[in-house]
Amino acid sequence: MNRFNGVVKLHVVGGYSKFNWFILPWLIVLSSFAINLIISGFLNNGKDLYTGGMVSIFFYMLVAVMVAVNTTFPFALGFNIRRTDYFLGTSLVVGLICLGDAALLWLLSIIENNLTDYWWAGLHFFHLPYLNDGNLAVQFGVYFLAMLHFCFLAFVVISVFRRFGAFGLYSIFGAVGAVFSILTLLATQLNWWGAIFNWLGQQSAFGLCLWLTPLTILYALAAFLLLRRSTV
Amino acid sequence: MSLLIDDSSPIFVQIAERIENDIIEGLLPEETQVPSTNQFASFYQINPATAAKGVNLLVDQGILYKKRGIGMFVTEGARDKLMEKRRERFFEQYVITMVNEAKKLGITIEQLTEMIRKGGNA
Amino acid sequence: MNRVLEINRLTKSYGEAVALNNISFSLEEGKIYGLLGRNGAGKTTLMHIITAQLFATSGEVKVFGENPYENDRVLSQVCFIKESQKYPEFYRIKDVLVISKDIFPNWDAEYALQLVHDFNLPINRKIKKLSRGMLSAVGIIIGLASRAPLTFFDEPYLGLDAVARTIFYDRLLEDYAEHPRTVVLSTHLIDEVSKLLEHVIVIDNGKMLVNEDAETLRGQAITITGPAAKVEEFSRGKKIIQREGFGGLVSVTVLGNLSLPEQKQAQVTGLELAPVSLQQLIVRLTTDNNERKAA
Repeated sequence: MNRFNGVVKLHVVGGYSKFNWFILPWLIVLSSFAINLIISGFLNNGKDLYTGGMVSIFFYMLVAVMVAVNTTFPFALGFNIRRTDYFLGTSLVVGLICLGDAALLWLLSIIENNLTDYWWAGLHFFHLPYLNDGNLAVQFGVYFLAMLHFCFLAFVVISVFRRFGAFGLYSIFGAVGAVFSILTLLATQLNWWGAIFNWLGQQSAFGLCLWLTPLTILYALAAFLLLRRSTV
Repeated sequence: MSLLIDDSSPIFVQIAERIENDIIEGLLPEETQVPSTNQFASFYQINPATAAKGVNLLVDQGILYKKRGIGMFVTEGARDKLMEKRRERFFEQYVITMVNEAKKLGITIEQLTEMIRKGGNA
Repeated sequence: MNRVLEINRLTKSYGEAVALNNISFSLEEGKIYGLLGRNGAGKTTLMHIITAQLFATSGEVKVFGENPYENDRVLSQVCFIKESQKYPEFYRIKDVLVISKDIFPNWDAEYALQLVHDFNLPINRKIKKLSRGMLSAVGIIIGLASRAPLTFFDEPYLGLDAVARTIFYDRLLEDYAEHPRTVVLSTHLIDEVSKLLEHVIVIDNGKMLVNEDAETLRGQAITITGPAAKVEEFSRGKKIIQREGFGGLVSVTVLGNLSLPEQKQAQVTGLELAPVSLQQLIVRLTTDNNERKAA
């Protein structure tokens, strides 16, 4: 158990790690927010501005998880940490960060929507139509599940890299690309597109996020199995 | 004598010889305690087990003895015993070698004896 | 004696290339071992497999009697300081020490700080910005302060100056005396550490070459120099590991002790006998004859 703590610590030790996980993403989101706010203030043309700039944090986390795993995994292995402990500890850290980020996004969207009437400037930055449909709990679920999906997507991609190297990663991308091409072709041939868009149209954002969750679990499982066979 | 251990013969033999020399030269009088294995190890920067082997070699020969819980001590009569052993070895180690070298250089036994006499007076 | 490590017919190959070829040996508790051999002989690969960071192609590795793979009972008792240890970008020396406390069950934080002081390391500096010597010192500190029952140092003193190397030997012997454990020093620079070793394992081209007590090894080879015919006659029937000639003189290194009569006979015949140091012995054993002729 002690060594599991070690894994958690190796992700958040020192000023830089904390800065990278907790400060930098919000610095980016909030500075984007500030610029958007100024623009919408100047425009002041009675129309609302829909930017949704908060999605940048999802892409930030995608990159941050890849960078973190790529550097901390060989370090941990070198310090004789079990791959299982590394996976569990890393998943916990990533999960908690997703929870925290989702909570902050959710709070900001409440402030935006319910308390400040879109920052008194008609700026839709955190609270967007469709994405924020449903009650407050559902809105929180959307942020959390979507972010978790992004993070574990990053986790599995970098695990492929750790296990099979750059060539393995390209091969997998190629294979996934090929599968999608075939599916697209099939859908066109069989006239499925209408039905697909129809189905997508019926889903709420939360519904889609729920559909993403089995995928997220699949990513986590794949990342675990890949790391179990990874070497230095 | 150099403090450095060289790598040319087993180190435990060299350690035993160092202790023997110290006993012969009176630096380690009889019934005094010799340094511990770990002290030897860190002083010469050698493996403690090797140092212990050197010390034990002398214990086996009755030069050192162990006081339980305290350490190793020089046995009474150790110095005489060592002198005797060294005298025996002197012939093999120095005389034979010297005579061989002298033969190689064409020095006769008479000349050699003369040289030794001179050396003794110097 | 308890065996802390047992390796049985271990082979590691990468396609056609064989990195380790059918290696078997064991390590006993509480000794300082030398894992010696030239660069690329397979030493680092071997230690990677022992710590389950790499996987063997065939054969068996048992650490403290168990398979080390994903085995925390075993892995937490082992510390492998590798020359190529990777550290995350932003880690400072300080951060690594903080993490080590949670990773190594026997970690002595106070001792680690004292060693940082002894090696005069800038504790707030990023690992990435350290010189090669400082990086080696960080490894040494982790290896000593972790007090793991089985500790591997891979090329521990790369880039260290003479003073720092002496500090390393001093501290290692001191701490080893107070907290006996099994230490493996892996290096191609044999000279300096040879005195610290109790037992020596030599690997050459992925094969086990020597597995012997250091003291036994030290007296095990002797170089005989003299006129060619006399040397040939004297060394007949002995295992010759090296032969060099210039002019009418030949110099032959043979394995095995010479008996006293043999030594006397050599002296009488006018042959010169010279002891062979551990370093020289291993260099001679691991230098391919053809390679030497070409050079």
